[in-house]
Amino acid sequence: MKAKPAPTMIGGMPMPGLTERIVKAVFLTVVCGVVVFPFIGVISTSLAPAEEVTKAGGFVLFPTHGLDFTAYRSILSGGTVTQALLISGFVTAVGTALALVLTCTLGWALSRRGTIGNRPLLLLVLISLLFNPGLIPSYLVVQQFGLLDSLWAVIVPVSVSAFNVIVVRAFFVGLPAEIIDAARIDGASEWKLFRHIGLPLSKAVVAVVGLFYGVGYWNSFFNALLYLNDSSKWPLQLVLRTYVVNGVELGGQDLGLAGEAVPPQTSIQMAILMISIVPVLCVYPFIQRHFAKGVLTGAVKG
Amino acid sequence: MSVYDARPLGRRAVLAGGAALGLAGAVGCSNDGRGASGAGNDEAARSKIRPAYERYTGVKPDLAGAEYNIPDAFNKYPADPVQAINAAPGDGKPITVTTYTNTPIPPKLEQNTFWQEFNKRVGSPVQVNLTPSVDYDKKFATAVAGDQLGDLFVVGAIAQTPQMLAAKAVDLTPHLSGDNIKKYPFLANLPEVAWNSGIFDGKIYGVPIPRGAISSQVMYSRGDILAAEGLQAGVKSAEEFVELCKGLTNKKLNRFALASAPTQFVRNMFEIPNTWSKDGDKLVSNLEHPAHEEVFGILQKLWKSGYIHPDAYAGQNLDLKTRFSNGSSPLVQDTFSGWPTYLQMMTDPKAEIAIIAPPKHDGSGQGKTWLGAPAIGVTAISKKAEGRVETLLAYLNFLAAPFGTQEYLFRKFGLAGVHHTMQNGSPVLNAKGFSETQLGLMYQADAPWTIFLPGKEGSAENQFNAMKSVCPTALANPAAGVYSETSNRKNKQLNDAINQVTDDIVQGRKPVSAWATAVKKWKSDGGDKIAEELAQALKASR
Repeated sequence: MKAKPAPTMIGGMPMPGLTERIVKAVFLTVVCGVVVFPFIGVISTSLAPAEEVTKAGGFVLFPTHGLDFTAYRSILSGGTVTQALLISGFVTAVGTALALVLTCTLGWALSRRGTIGNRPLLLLVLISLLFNPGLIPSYLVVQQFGLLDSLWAVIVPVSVSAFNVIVVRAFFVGLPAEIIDAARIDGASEWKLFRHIGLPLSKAVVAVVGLFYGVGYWNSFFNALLYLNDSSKWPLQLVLRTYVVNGVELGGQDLGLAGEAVPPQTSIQMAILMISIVPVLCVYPFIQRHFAKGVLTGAVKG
Repeated sequence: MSVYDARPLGRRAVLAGGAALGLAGAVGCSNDGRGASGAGNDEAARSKIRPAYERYTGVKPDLAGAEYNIPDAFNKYPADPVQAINAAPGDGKPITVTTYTNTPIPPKLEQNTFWQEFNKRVGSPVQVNLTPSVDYDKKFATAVAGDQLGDLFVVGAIAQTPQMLAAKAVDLTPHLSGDNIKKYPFLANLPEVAWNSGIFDGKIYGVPIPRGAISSQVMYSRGDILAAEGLQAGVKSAEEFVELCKGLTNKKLNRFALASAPTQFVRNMFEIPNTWSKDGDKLVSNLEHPAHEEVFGILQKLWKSGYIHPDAYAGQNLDLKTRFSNGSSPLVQDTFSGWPTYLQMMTDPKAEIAIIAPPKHDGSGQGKTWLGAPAIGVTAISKKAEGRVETLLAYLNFLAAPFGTQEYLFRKFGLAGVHHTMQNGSPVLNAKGFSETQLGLMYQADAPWTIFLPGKEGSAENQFNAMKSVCPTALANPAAGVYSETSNRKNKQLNDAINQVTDDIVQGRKPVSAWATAVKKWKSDGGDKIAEELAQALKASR
């Protein structure tokens, strides 16, 4: 009688024993729970009626008294937040595109040995990684460029991140020299090398760096706070911040908003979290596969 | 974040207002020649500089608070509000304002009927540049460096404030000193002591935004829960207070008597001074008060016995309010200005708010609450707008129109039918009104505080009586509003260190004896220098 071949998993690894599988399942379930439950809590709290949130002491895991959209309504009424969403979208899209162009071209230039000023330029980039100019000098530079109160003030100053340049450069350096030499023999110019050889081979790292920039632009509020005086130009995160810090000293409630129950802070805060997180969640799955690959490639070749 | 950061009008608010303590009638405490800067150092000159106080009497309050040093209270908005200002203050040219806010930003001008109407009534398009209060100092620092301040600006916490003001702000002395202020009757109606924050080197540089007694910290209690447990709010001694906490704590109900450590309340029982006390010409910090060991003894006992909520040191300000509102902590220490928020957050219709006055620890009478800072900030006028000083002061005067006038009604509640509805003779904001009126007006200039809780029958009287019970005997900070450069630079750091030790001792991580060492370090790290600077400034100003 032939012995039954040991069951294998896809890829040929032997199937682990029952106990091992149970232990793994339990472990993974716990880990998932740790990640998922707070998130459910956030969604539930943002949708729970005011009294329930207060009764529960701030957080609700599952609303039992029906859903209540007051928190969302109070944030979205008045059009300030919707407009800020559009502005944030614009800043993120334009900012990421600009940042990618600048970072990739700079990274490429720095990756080519023998470019004029290669070394000093690389040093300059590295220095900016180590030393931060500080609040007021940055402000004065932005002011002197006449960018105050313009959305470009939020986009331009952070459009080149030294860290990302280093990552991209490392990737370009790791490209096989043979391909580039071959293209050059065929008469390709530097620009063509970059455009038709370098970039297509580096989609993974571009996606990763793009995600870094995108999330960075989406989340940033501090530059907007400093540079934009006109609050109708504020991006989403800064507008939402005014909801979160609300009530630090004397909130709006002291004006006698008695008849109209203001939703409790916690549910507003959670609704804010949802509003600011959903767009990122929508984009993330499409970039995620590049993300995993990109980080790995970077790790090996960098 | 430590609980101190989250307390209303804690260190944060004081620093953020910057001006509150930061600015102040510090004659000659600047680096160039302390105490020797000439004008305003002698009593005669100074009394000419200080603006005259002329109380506005056009509206009669339902409950007058003046004699108790507390705000007036109103049960209803006066039926036919007087028009207090006849001519629009504006000159048709834009007025730009740099200030902070604690509320969500308003819809933009085109979509904001309140703002449009406000501009019309002011007679100038008003452009407000708002910053969330917690970020204001950074914004202010950059705006000063980049010369981007508005025509009017609230003074943020910044090093060398007097020098900055001398360089950037208009000297308002010729316009506001003595009887000159009577041209702006509602600025003359601002409490006398609040002006400390706006006078510098013998010159007036800013108009204070008054608060005062309303920002005193007191012990709130849930009267309904006390009654249900058969407990009395009128505690006579420290011991009785501990007993009360014991009676209120019920582990089965997951109830802890106190939402946070009642540090200030216990200090009040021992009549520890409010921040500073005077010893002749010297100032002594309340940290050096000998009763602290006993204070910590009581606090440690409260913590060890589990009468303080276990999350007291982990949460935010909001969590304290939530705990009080849902009854899981029937006692909470907060400012009087939190009263309306508590009214609103109550989920139980039978809930009652009452104030527990601090007793003397040994049962020999009533303890002493600490009076809130007289002003939360000062608004200065930019040198770039020097030619329009009178217009800008008239604008601030407009914003300081007191309760009961048409101007106040419009400023706080917008237009009837659009932004508020009248209920039982009181305006109640609707959602549109709430979002559109948030132009940060109460952080530019304001009238003296008024107790007015529309839509909550009897609440104004309750709060008035509560304030009456503790404020008349409350201790004021003798150095409130006085400027010290060292304090301006180091206060936060010094306070953080001392608060950390306080927390450690209360929670039993450090022995009570650690206090003396910490205070010694506080003194040598800058506390002594601050005391010295404040004392000199005070002396020079009297």
